[in-house]
Amino acid sequence: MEAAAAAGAVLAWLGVSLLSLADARRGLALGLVTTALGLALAAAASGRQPSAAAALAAGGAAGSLLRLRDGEPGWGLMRPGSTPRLVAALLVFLAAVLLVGAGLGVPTGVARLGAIAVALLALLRLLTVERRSPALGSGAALALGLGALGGGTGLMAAAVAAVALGTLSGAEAPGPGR
Amino acid sequence: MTALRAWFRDPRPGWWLLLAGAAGAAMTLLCLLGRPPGTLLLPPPSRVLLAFSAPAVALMVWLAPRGDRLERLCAGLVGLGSQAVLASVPDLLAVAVLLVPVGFAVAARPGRRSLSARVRGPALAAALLGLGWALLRSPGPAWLGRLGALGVALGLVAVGGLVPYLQEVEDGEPAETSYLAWTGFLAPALALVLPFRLLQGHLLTPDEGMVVGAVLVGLGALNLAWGAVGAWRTASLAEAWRDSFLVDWGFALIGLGLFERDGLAAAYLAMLAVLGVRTPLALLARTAPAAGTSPRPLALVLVVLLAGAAPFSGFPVRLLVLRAATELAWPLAIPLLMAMALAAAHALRLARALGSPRGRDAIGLAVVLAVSLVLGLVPGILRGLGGI
Repeated sequence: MEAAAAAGAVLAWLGVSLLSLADARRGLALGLVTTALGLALAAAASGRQPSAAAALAAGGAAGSLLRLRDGEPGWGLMRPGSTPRLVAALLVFLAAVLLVGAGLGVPTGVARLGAIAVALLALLRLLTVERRSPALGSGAALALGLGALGGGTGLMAAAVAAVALGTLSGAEAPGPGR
Repeated sequence: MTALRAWFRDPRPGWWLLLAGAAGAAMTLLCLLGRPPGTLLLPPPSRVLLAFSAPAVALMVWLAPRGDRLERLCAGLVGLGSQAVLASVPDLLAVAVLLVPVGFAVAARPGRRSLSARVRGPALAAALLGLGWALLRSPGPAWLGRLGALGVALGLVAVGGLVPYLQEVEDGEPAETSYLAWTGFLAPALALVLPFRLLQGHLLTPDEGMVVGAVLVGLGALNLAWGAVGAWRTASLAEAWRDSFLVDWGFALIGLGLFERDGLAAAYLAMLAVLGVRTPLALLARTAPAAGTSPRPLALVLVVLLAGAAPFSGFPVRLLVLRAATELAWPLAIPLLMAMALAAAHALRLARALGSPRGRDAIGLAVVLAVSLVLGLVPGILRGLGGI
């Protein structure tokens, strides 16, 4: 169970790192779905209700599919200027390890590590991004990360939030109406 | 796909906005009824707060131009539903999660600033609350709990968009997408329910409680000073109105942070005043003709109201905060009294901004004056209704 939780946490961190390095729809969608699957795996391995973990995965997958419908086409990975985001992805993981500390010995702690890393990295991306589509993807990842820190209610709320954010348009509006 | 792309773009209330409005009304009803049991539980103070929010929405619709009323009604119902859900969900982490889509829903409405700029405040608040709450409950060294308490307190201040999270104020921005949506409408619900949940559940250790209290009192004093001086000195009238909210929030935060019965009652009454008096007045000021001047008796009444003097809503708030502060340490009353005197300085300017109301505006203003009188004259009954 501990190995599954660790695998889930690492997968979630890789997913949110991908999301924070992506600017176009495919990269954002892949990052979001990877994050959701990783968080769901870690949550299930740490003893949370399997149905709630499945809901989290389904909500994240639905949110990422909806993200594919608009925004800039392509992958948009590692564009010029993304080095600080790459460095942030590594530093955030270290910060999450520090925060979880001794809890890393148990699956619950490992799952919390993944959730904290996702929430922090998604927040950093959200605070620095200017475009709609990456902001919506980061918002969905933030909701997933925060929900994965809680129990069944948190996981279900995160699934609902990811789908709700997916329904919002990621297309840029012309002029000041953005 | 075309319909999906048009979501939250079309200035007319499309089917999606009608659907969202209906969902908001349904959620409000479910929260009031407490259905499903155990999942949604609206505490008594939040019920009263919701009762004060409904007239604010009605006024927003009442004051809107004829063609915009349905859209405003739908947006208001979504706001009411969001407020009810945020106050009803017992799990604080779920509240933090739900803040994210609510923040995006507000930010996605058309406006001059970009979605990403408008969503930063609510997203930061959600992250601070969620991470803070998770750290509070996690096993580990004591400093983690204190860090969590710091996160929760800072998150609470961030929800309101207060100092140090002030955002740009735009002249002419619709109320439902401006700072009013958070500072004047959604945040009071959370500001009341979060500390009550923390206190009632005995979820904080003394150390953590001290961190939360110190941060709230400190930032409350900062907001009080910032609001009092800012509303007086700023050149922009829109900024002056926003700063006047900071004064109310300052009293509320200080009251919450003192963890005294009177302090909590002051915060409760201050939040009711924000929803029932300050927000409607700010809405009325938006529609008032720029060159209008209130008749002298009305202007005098408005100055007294906005200065927080008896017999209006600000007076019991100030009295209770002073009483709570002197119970803890009497020197606290000195800066509070100075701030109260300074906060009266902007009253004349804001009263002038309301101009000479006629027609619908005059009826709206009469209702607001009556609400303020009720808050000022019978605060005990309202405290009883809220179980405080």
